[in-house]
Amino acid sequence: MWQKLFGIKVISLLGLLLLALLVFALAVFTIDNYQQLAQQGLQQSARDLLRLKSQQHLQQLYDKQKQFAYRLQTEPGFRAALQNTDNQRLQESLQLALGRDQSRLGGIHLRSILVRDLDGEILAASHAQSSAAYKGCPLIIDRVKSASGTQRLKAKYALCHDQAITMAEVVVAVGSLRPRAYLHVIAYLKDEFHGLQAEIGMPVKLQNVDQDVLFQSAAWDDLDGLNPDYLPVSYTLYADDNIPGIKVTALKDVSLFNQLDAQASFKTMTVVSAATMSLLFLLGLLLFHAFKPVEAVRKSAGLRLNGRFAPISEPRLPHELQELVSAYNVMVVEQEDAAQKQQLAELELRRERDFISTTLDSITNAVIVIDAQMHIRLANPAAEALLDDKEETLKDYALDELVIMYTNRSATHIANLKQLLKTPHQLINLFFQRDDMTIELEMMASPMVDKETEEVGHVLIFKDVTEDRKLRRKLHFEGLQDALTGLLNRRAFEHRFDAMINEAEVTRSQHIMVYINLDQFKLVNDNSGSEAGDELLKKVAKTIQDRVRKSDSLARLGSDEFGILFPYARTDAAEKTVNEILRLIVQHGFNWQDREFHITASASLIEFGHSNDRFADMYEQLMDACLQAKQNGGNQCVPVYS
Amino acid sequence: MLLMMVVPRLWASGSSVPANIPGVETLSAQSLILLAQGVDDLKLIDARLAEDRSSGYIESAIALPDPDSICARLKSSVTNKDQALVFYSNSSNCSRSSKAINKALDCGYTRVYWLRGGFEEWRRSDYPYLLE
Repeated sequence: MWQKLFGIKVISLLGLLLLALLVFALAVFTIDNYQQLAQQGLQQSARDLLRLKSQQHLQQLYDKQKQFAYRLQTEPGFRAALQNTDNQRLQESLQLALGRDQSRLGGIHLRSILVRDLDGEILAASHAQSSAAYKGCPLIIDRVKSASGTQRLKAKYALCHDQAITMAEVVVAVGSLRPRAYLHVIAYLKDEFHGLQAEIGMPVKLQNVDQDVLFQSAAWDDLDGLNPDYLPVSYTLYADDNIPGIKVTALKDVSLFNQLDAQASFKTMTVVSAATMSLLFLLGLLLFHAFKPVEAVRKSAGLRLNGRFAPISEPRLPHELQELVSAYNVMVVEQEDAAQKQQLAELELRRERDFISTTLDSITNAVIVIDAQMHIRLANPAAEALLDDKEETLKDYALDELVIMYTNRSATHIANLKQLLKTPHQLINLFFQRDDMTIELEMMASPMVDKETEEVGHVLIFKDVTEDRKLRRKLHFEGLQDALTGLLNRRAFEHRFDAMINEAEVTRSQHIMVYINLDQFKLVNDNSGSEAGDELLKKVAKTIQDRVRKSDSLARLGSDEFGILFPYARTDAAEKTVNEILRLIVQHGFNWQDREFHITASASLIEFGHSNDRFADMYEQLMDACLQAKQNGGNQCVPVYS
Repeated sequence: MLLMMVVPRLWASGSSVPANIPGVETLSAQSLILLAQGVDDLKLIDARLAEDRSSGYIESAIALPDPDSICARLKSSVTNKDQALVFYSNSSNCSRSSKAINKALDCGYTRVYWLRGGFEEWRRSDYPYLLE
């Protein structure tokens, strides 16, 4: 609310108004100031004139009084009376002089004339008719009395009072070189100022110390006080005892000044108003133009914040702002373009990632991506199964810390994965323990290389070959075993034979090989089927196996042929064992589906241990000897002596 | 141009009124009064024209406006050549007193004083005078 209220627009508007107000106030203040200054100047000059003229008039009065005294001294009556010290005649001559009209007195209004002796005492005195006896101002008498030497000859002046009447008093010496007496001339001051009005061209008013009006111009009452065209100015002439003597007030005609002042004020205010209005208008226009694009930018920026791109379309703008707006629009369009491209790229990337993810998920081999520090970055579901944990948990673990891999099946040699990664693209056999089970793996590592050919990690593909190997091992085992009886097969038998020959070469030992062939196998097989035959073979195998030692090797060499290897055996002992086996075969017999068969077998045995002994030769000799035994009636053992 | 007009005049006035006159004591208004206190029979000679004298004169001063008749006039009123005489005219710019003094000196008067500032100095000093 407040922020909106004090927005830029409002502040600008207020600022403009304030500016206008300031300019106006400044103009008014300045005009008023100058008006006052001018008025003060007028007043001051009028007062100066008044002071100058007042002092001039006082001086003139003093001069007139002196001249009156100097003239009086040349009058024979006065001179004679003074010389004869005839005070009566002296007073008469003074009376005579005082009685003359003012024009003859030189335009002064005398109050008293006194003659004083050299000590200042009055010898004779004459006073104007209306005025009471006045002995003069004590101030001037003191001056006369205190003067000495040449000072006694100098004229003395004083402006004094007697009951609110101001008087100019002059004392001059009688006798130019040697004073004989003093003439004390006392005149009223006010009459001297009557001519002031004509001199200064202003109506005047004289007031005494009690503010009584002593004199005022005829026009005074009409002009004084309220008329603004007349400015009152006053000057007070102080008496010698520092009491205001006479206050002169004049009325200065300022009508012309007021008229000119009013005109000037009007002109100034008109110009100021016009200038202010123009300034406001121009500033307003400027602000309006400035705010238009600002507003547009604000709107556009607002839309941009909401994810929309809106270039400013403001055709009528000052060219500087037009450039700014164009630049902004270019920026917005570029941003929009960039944003669209980015969106597309993101879409593409997501699709690609999904594809890769799907691919990885569908791979049955475990795929693990590690970075340069061996930390797991990616693990597909097969890898999760292998390591028995979720990808999220596996991430950021170093692979070599998470599982210990061995290079051998018996888990005694720990594989150095880092070392192994240095030989990429090769199948490496690894083993690790999980739930007391050895997991066998084939690992293929492919380095991931970035643009600067710096390895950023590896893609490891693990193939679980545990079951595979187990099967293969079984097959291998089955290749040496007879599937039906569980005895060694012929190949295994031959291997054992060869092994014993090789051993005999070193130890020069003697071994016995035995050949046993059933006499009635064909009969059982033909009469009761191969199933019965198989059962017979199993039973006989069991019978033989029970009778031989673990160190002996028993094998099924053909369909109903068995072979035994007796290591380190002698012929007679072996013959005894074989005869025992033959006896047991007969004893055990064979029952198949409630039918009893009499079973016998023929056997032959031969000594071996020489390095030249070959299994094939031995086998052939044994077969021949056994055939001989069968022809002799069977159920017997025939030794072969080489 | 102005300088050419003014300078000769100043020169002329300066030359016509000397700063002092040999054998003559120059007085100020004050020293004149002091002199008068000591010398009883001091004679003042007013060398001004009659019209100048009408604006006032020092009491007891004898008017001798005509320089040519000075000797004759003095002879009638001042017989003693050792009589103290004080000459004055209008002001220090007025050459009448100095001319009159020279005449008096020529006539043989020996105690001559000169109020060089003239009546103007007297009046300006506010000393008393007489007015007809």
